[in-house]
Amino acid sequence: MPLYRTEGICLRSYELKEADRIVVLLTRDQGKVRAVAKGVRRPGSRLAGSLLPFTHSRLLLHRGRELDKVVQCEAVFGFRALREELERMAAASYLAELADGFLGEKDPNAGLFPSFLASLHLLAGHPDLRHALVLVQGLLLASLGYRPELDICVHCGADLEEGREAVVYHPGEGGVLCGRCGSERKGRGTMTISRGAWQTLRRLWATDPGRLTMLRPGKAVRGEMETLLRATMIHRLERRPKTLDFLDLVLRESE
Amino acid sequence: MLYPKTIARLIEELCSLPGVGPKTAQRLAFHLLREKPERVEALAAAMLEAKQRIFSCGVCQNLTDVEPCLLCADPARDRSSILVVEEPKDVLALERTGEYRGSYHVLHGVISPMDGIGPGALRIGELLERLKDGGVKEVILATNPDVEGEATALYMARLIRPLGVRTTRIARGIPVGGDLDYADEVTLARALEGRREVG
Repeated sequence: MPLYRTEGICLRSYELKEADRIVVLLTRDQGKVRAVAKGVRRPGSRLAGSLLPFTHSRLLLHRGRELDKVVQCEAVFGFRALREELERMAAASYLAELADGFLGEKDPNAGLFPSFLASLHLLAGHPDLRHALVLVQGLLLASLGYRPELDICVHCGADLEEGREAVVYHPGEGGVLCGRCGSERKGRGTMTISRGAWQTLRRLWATDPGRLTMLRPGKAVRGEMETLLRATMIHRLERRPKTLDFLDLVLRESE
Repeated sequence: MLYPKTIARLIEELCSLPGVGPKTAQRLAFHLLREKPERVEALAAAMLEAKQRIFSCGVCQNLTDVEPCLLCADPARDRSSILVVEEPKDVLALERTGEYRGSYHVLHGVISPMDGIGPGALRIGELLERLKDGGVKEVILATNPDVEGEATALYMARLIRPLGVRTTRIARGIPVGGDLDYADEVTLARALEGRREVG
């Protein structure tokens, strides 16, 4: 069938020709889809408002050879806070860039859509945006299957010793290192996190996504978690996200 | 490529223009080759002249061939109000309305985090300079009502408000001649918010 219905979230869009756009959508059942939205840059377009970035919409799409085409679109939830508050908009742009960068086209991932939707709700409504940013990065890594190994040494498989004050993490190897492996690799792409940050990260990935806001790390631990999550994102993405500079700028200025 | 080197180079150069793909570039190249030499020379001369003579106005940053530009030099324009737009073509669109008699400021872009374009790439510093002498009473932010335009407007409002200058945003909602039945939910919500008393 050339026509199909789905739900989607617009991650970003590019201008096309005089009045069209290519929209990059994260859909519930088709994965990432690129589709042409005809005439959306004209003032009277019926599609424009429902295809704004971060908008959750119900869509009717026409399957094309290279690009699909948006036939109908109806907004389910607009996430206005993500467009009207600068810090939240920057955070949502960062999350959208990560999702866009990690996903191949039309590669369905059943868990990603609800997790991404929950993340947008967190970014739009959480009273502490920095806290929300840590949670949504954790959610994204988990739903992509990139959750770091935190229980055993990723190099030798040994259990992490109890009672250690600090834990060595290696973004490139995808997890923590035991004392011996950590000492051998010190300074070669490793980072050290406190026991508190390590324990909170383990709780982050063991907690039901609906109860994530119960996790309330202190400022110092949250800072360590943020550094670790970012390093993991950059390693997985194989580049620094373009949105990070702007996100850091507005977060710094809002303090 | 099968074409002679000169044609191949022309196609390659045309291909670098926005919105021009290899097929369009090929069609344009053959059109130019079929044209009379004086037509092609006139086109080349116009392109060169525009490139050599056009620069940004030192005041409003709009494209001009005189300093200051005609709008900034016009004594009838109200200098206490500055309307901020993304691109030079937006100035033309607003001038066509005949409704605005103040001055302009062209940013030459918008903040687009996903493209790595931050505030430093825009002409925001030049606008803040213009606000320093205290003569400006209002800055109207007329960037597009999309995510990038909103981000730019929000960021600028944050910089301008502490200077004590009234900062406003153009209205958003149902377009003139539009049909409520066909308007999307986001546009309708904005239109309701921006409702005004009648009569």
